Amino acid sequence: MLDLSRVQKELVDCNRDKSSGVSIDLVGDQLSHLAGTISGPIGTPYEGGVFRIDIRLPDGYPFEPPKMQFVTKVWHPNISSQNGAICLDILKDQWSPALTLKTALLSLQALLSAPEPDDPQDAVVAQQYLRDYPTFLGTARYWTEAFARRVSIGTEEKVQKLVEMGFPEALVRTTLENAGGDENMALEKLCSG
Amino acid sequence: MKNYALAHHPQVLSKISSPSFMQSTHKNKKKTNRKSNAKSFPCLLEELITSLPHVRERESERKRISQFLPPSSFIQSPDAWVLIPAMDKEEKSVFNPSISISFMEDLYQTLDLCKDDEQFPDYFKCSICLDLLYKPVVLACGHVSCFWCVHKSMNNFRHSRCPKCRNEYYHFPCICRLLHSVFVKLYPVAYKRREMEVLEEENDAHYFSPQFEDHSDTTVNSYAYHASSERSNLGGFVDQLDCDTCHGEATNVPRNSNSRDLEGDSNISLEEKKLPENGQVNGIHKQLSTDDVLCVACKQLLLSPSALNCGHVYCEACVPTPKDESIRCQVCQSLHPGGFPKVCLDFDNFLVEQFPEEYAHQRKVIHGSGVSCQQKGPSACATQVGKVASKSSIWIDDFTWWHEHGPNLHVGVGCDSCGRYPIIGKRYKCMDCKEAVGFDLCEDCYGTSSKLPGRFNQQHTPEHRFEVVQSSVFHKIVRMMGGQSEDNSDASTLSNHASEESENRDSTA
Repeated sequence: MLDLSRVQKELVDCNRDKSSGVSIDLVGDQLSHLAGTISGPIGTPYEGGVFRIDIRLPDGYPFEPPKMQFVTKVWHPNISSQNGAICLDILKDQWSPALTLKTALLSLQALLSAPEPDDPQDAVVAQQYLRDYPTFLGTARYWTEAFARRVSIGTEEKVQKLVEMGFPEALVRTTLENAGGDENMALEKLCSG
Repeated sequence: MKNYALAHHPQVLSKISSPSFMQSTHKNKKKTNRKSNAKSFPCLLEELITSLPHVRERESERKRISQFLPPSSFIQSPDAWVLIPAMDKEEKSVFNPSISISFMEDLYQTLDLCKDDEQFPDYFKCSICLDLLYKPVVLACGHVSCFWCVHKSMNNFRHSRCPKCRNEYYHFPCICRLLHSVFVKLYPVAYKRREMEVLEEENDAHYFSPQFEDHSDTTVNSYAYHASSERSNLGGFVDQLDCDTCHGEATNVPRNSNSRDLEGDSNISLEEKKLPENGQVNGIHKQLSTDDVLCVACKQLLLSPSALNCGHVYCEACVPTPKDESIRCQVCQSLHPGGFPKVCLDFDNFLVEQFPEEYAHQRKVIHGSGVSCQQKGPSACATQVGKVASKSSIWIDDFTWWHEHGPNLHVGVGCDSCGRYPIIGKRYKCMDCKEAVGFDLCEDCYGTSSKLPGRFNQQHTPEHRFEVVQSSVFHKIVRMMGGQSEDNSDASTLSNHASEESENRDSTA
């Protein structure tokens, strides 16, 4: 039987910590089917993306590893570009019951920033990674943009934010427009005058 | 303090553990209320969450937990128990309200049960069940987990690995009675809750962990039996209790006598006198003294505590280290398999926090007298890491290992004396133990005179007869592959009693 109390504790624990960049939600009504979310690590082609992971807990959990699969399409040597299957040892034979869903998701986040092309899940991606790294970067970035883009906040909210920082509203609006809606670029321009 | 003493009064304990008490607690009252007035289920849930003390203090916390409430868009249907979420049509068809409610009920109960708990530090949280350690077991690497958590995480086929550090181990250690009694004292409410939960699971599974409570008269188990006989030997010499702290049985004696004393008013002042002045707010911590955490060898406060396979705790410097043979516990004379035990750092941290002055003093004394605390060989973890070789060599290792040990491997069967799991070699199975879990010994333990009680609360006695059981797995495979009809299924029964056998061996040796 699935240890429900442990899963509940994990859920409460994980979602209490907002700063970690990972979260877990219930998909349906059963604790054995969950959905994890990780944000793409900064400094990688996955930056700015939000990746959703399907989590299924076997009856033997936590003594058996959870079954995880990317729902969001991602271009990565260790993740299948077709079905999102993940090649990661701790989700297989190296699983330990002391690991949690949160640590597993953090490991996935680490996997995104440190691909292992020598032990690939997707041979095509791994080949590209090894032979033509710039193209790999481009594809990975494009896939992130196309499939994993965070739902951007509305223009009004951005304006509101910048106005709160002390810039005049009219200036904020024009700068934002010039920056193509990019909040950070607009802020830079505003600061440099 | 009063609460604590009462909670450990034998009568009160039996009351708490009786099902009628469970029904009469306020928690269950609330539950029945909830059912009679089902309309307010979400409100009650909200109420409960806000009533959690730490939640009341921090509004942000409340918000986080309320993520587990039904979505804010839940609408109450006329039939109050069916909550219909205001979702899109497609989603609604998938949504099954009954399961959702059962989940919410579970969560409700979890929160409800935990709210009376004492706060315990993270290092006393089991890394597997994520709750307070219950019947703690210290592995050779010094990491602690619950009895069942360790047992369930062990490998049925080969060596097991520590869930935390992946250190290899072969023996299921005994419960650390010292830590057990520390938890009973420090967190009576939380520990009692854990006991109830685990007992419920055990009843369902018909497998039991060793029972320590000697006041529960109904379960006359080997441990309790052992304890009572030992106590009669003590004959009331309380001075002797300190040296037996690690036995656990002995620690129960002063505790019970205290709570019994409380019945008479004259003794209350005596109880209060014992309390150190720097006690903590809830008064429970006042009960733990350095007498509860003494080394079995030097009878001083434990300095860098290390637990042996038998569950007895020594200072790191006090672990008996014979030069040529393996470590043997001074208290119970049982062998400690494997190398030198590692310091249990979690327990060490606790001692430093709990008794800063005494610990510092003890450290000064030990270092001052020139006794070296650095007996550590190369770290076990480090050697294990070094062993991890390329994948191909692991496969070859696996193959040779199976070739060598496969025929004698008893999958999922452990030795009840030394804890070897799984048994490799001859397996001696008790023919008279009725428990589902059975009672088994490995060849080495069958040959020695030390007859410890079973690991799963079996009612085993030395008079029981044994039989040799062949490993069935391998022969099944052989039969399947070669069609050979090896007639190993009927086990050869040993006519002589185990005790006689061991006596004979002892006399010849």
